[in-house]
Amino acid sequence: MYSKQYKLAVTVPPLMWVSLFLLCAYLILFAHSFWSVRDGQIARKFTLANYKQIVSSPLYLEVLFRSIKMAGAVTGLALLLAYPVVYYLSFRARHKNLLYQLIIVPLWVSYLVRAYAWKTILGSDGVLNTSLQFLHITHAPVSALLYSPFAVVLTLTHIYTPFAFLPIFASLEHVPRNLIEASQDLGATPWQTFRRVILPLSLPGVIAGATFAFVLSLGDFLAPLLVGGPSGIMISNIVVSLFGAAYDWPLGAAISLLMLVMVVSLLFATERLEKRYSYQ
Amino acid sequence: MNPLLSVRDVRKRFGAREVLRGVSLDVAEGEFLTVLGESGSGKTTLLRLIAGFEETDAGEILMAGTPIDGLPPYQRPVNTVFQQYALFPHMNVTENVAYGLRVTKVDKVEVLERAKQALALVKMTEFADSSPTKLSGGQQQRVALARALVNRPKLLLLDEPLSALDANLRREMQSELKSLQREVGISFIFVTHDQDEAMALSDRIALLRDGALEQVASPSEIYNRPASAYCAAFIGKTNLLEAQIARGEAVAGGLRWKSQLPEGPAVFSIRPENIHAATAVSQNGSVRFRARVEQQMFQGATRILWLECQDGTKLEARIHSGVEIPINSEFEFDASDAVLIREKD
Repeated sequence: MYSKQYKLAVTVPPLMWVSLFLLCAYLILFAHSFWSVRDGQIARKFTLANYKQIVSSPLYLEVLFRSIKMAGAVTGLALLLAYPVVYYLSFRARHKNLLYQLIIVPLWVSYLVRAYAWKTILGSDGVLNTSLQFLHITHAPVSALLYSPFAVVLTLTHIYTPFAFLPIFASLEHVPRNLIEASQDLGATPWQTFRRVILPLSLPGVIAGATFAFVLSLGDFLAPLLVGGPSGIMISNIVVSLFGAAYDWPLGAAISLLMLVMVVSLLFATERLEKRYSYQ
Repeated sequence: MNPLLSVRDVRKRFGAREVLRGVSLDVAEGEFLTVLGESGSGKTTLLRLIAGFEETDAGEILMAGTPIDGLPPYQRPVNTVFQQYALFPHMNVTENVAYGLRVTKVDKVEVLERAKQALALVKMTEFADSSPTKLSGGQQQRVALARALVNRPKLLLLDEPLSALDANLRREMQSELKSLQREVGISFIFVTHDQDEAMALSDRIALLRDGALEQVASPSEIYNRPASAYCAAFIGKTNLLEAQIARGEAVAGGLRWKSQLPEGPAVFSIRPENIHAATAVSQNGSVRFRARVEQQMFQGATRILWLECQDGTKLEARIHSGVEIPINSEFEFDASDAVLIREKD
């Protein structure tokens, strides 16, 4: 067996890492959320004012709900895009590996580049508007394309679809092929086989993929910053500004913690759901 | 009248490998036919072609005279019991069994009723609400059978269904399978590599070798009148004797016996159980020889002797355990038990 020294040597660094960058950071955040700002200084006295403010202010709740709605839209779109592609890839495609790589490739491109790309596509002088005018479909640039919730959802969908793709692909690849044959053998049409066998058996992957897409887009702040405009602002942008220009760390910490609790409970819930639908 | 299933000169290749090289086979109504062969002989491919999971390269498959080659698996009137059972893990036992009826939109009350009947048929009623993942191999096997029978197919295909079970359970399931087949009166095509299983269950055995049929016959015929040396050796144990026929006599080393066969070389098969210790008086037609017992193996009621004749010919004999045999003794077999094999190899 391993010596005590060896065990210490391998366990201490990661533990240090986790406690320093996660636990300590969260504790500081937790503490701040119960403090307040007085005369431009952080007053270290316990108060629930930040949480009261979040619940009573229509601004924060509205942005929070909008963020949830946008993340939900991204999740739905990502699943709608990913599932058929994965299905094709897993059951029909001849050059599986090549196509798989093509779908993964965007993950290697910088987030910023991909977000900027949409700015160039959707902007007033962008590719889309110029083409629309060139084809005489519109006579003036459509300004609603950029700086809107639509632009944010589009960008986030583009960025996070591969994250939904991967777990769905893994789960479809693991659907035993003889179950599909058994279904056909018993008289089920291809659609019935999909509905009654393939889809239910791929649910764990769908749930995992949806969770990725939802959690990642809910906490995103770069896409709304770059293509969102005032109407496309999400909750993370508010947190960023509270920690920055507004210099209200306590309120920012409270909102962050609230999001953290939401996301962690969601992760727990979806993990249980995944277990419920796995049969391996 | 047309046979229930007719496979006509079917060919199939996977890449460079020709898996089936012109297989023709008829299956009658209510027949239990076993496709027997070593792994790689093409037996599973033949089954998959009939079920519709693969397409034939050439040839025809007909059911009651109607071609079914072009139909997708879900439109073919056959059902399959898969090697690994392939039960749906996200459905309970009843839902698994009812699946075939649900997708064909039979009335709901009838679906449940027929699923219940099918479960009763395989004695699995008490597990109706269990998850298949919680069942033992033998129980899963029964559910798979019920699921395949519930659609009342004309023909049931079974792909080595017993190979995953241990020896005792296997024997038990063999006899159950046989009585089940009699009870429902459905034709079975049963694929196996186990010759004992094939002998025990089948009305007829189709012996497949490298993608071609070697012999199709009843178990007793294939055992007593093997069509080739391969058949003789694959089905049970046998002694193959290379003989020369001349002047009304067959000569194989030091052994000789009367034969009316045309002159020339020939191969004969003599089953070990047809070689006995010589009796005091020589019977008409018996072939006697002296041999040394090289080795013996006790097998319960009988024992196997490895004999070496004076000219070096080696033979295997199966003798009753009670019979005392000295190391050097006289043996005999009846000339009619030396079966001529149409030499193919």
